[in-house]
Amino acid sequence: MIRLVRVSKSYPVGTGRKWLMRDVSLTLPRGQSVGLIGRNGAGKSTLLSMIGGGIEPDRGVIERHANISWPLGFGGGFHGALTGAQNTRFIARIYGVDTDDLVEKVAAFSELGEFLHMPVTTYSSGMKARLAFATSISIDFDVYLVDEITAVGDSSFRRKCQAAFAERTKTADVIMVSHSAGAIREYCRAGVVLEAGTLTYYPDVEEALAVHEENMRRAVTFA
Amino acid sequence: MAVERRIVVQGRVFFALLMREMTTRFGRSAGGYIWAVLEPAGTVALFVLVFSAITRHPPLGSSFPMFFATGYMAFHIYSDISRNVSNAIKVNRPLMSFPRVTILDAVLARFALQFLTATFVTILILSAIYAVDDVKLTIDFGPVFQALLLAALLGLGVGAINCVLFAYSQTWQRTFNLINRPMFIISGVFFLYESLPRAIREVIWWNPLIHITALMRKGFYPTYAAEFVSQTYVVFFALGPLMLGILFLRLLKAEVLDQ
Repeated sequence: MIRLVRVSKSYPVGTGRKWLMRDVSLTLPRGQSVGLIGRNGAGKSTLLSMIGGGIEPDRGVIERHANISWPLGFGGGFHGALTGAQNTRFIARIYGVDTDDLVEKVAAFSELGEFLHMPVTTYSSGMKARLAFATSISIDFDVYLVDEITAVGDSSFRRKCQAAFAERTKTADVIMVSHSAGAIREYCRAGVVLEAGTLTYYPDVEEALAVHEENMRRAVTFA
Repeated sequence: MAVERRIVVQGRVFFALLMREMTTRFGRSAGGYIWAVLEPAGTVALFVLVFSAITRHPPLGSSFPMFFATGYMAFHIYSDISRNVSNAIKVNRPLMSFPRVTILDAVLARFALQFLTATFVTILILSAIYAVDDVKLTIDFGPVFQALLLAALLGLGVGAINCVLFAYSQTWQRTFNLINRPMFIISGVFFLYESLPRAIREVIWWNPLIHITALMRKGFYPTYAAEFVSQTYVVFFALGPLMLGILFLRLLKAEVLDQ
C-alpha cells in the first residue's frame, strides 16, 4: 500500500510558484495497477517520481509499505565510470539481493556480452536502456513504476521485454504514466486523474479515462 | 517499515555506497591508491627541502620530516574529509533516483571512506619517516587519537554544512575555497603556536586547526606540553556546522535536490 498524506509540490516559475498539487491525500491499495492520467504539465511524472522517492514533496508524507522500483528503464542512477556489472552489484546491495545472482540474471537478459564489463560511459543509449531494463526486471519488486513504456532495442529484444514485464505484472503492481489510453487500459485496472492541483482516484480505469477526456475538452486551467 | 528493517536497509545502503565510492575513487587505476599516499608525502617532502635549506633545526626534535609530517597529516585529515564530504550532494545526485538512498547516507559513506583512507595514509607516512630517518620516538597515543578524531569531526562538520551550501551557491563555494587556502599557513604546520608573538597568538587561538596540529605534536614529542589547547573549543566549533548541516539536509531536502 502506498499512501500520500497531505502532499504539496510546487515549482518556481518566474517570480511565483506553480503548484502541481496542493494538500492532496491518496491511498493506492496493493493488488491494483494504477494509471496516472492528466494533461501535459499536470505533474504526472513528478507524482511518479515522488512515489518512487526520487523527488521529495515540499510538504506532506508519502508512506510506502511496498518494495518499489525506480522508473522502469531509467538509467540515470548509473555511474558512468563503473562497469555495467559494478553498477548492477551496487543496486543488488541496496536492495539486498545476491550480487552474483543479479549480475548473472542481468548478463543473460541484457545480452550485453563483454560490454557488461566495460564502463557505462562507453555504452550507446540503447545499451544503457538494456542494462536499466534488465536490472529492474531482475529484481522482485512489489510495485513497478513506469513513465511511458519506451521500446528498447530491436524487435526481438522488445518482445522479450514485453514478455518479461507481463510475467512480472502477474504478481507485481504497476503505477504508470502514459499518454496512450491503450497502454493504460492494457496494464491498469484503476486510474488517478490529475487536474488543477487535485488528485482523484477512480477504481475503474474507464471512468478515469472518461473524466480525463471530459477535462481535455475544457479550457486549460492553471493552478 | 519496522525499526529493525530500517536499520538493516540503512546498513546495506551504507555498505553499498562505501564499495561504490571505493571503486570510483581508487579502483579505476592502480594509480588511485598510490596518489592518495603520494600527494601528502610529496607535500611534506617539499616543506623539508625548503625549510632545511633556510634553518638548521626544526622547532621540535631533530627531524624535519617528522616535524612537518606530524603537523601536516593532522591538517590533511581535516582538509581531505571536508573537501570530499562537501561534494557529496553534487557528485551523488543521480543516486537519489534510488528511493532508498538518502543524502545523509552519501555524506556518511564519503566520510567513513575518507577517514579510513586519511588515517591509513597518516600511519603509513609517519612509519616510513620513522624507519628511514632514524628518529627516537616515544609516542603518547592519547593526544594522537584526540588529534585524529578532532580533525575528522571538524572535517565532517565543515563538509556537512558546505555540501548543502555548495549545492545552492557557486559563489559561496569559490569564496570558501579562497578563505580556506591560507588555513594551511596559519594552522601550525610550519611553526609552533608558542613561538608566535603574543598579539598574533591571541587571534590565531581561535583557529581550531592549530589546536589539532599541536595535539598531534604533543603525542609525538614528550617535551612539548601544548598547554594552550582546548579540546572543548574544537568540539563545539565542529558540532555547530555539523548540526546545522544535518538540520538543513532534513528541512530543505526537497529544495536541495531541486537545485
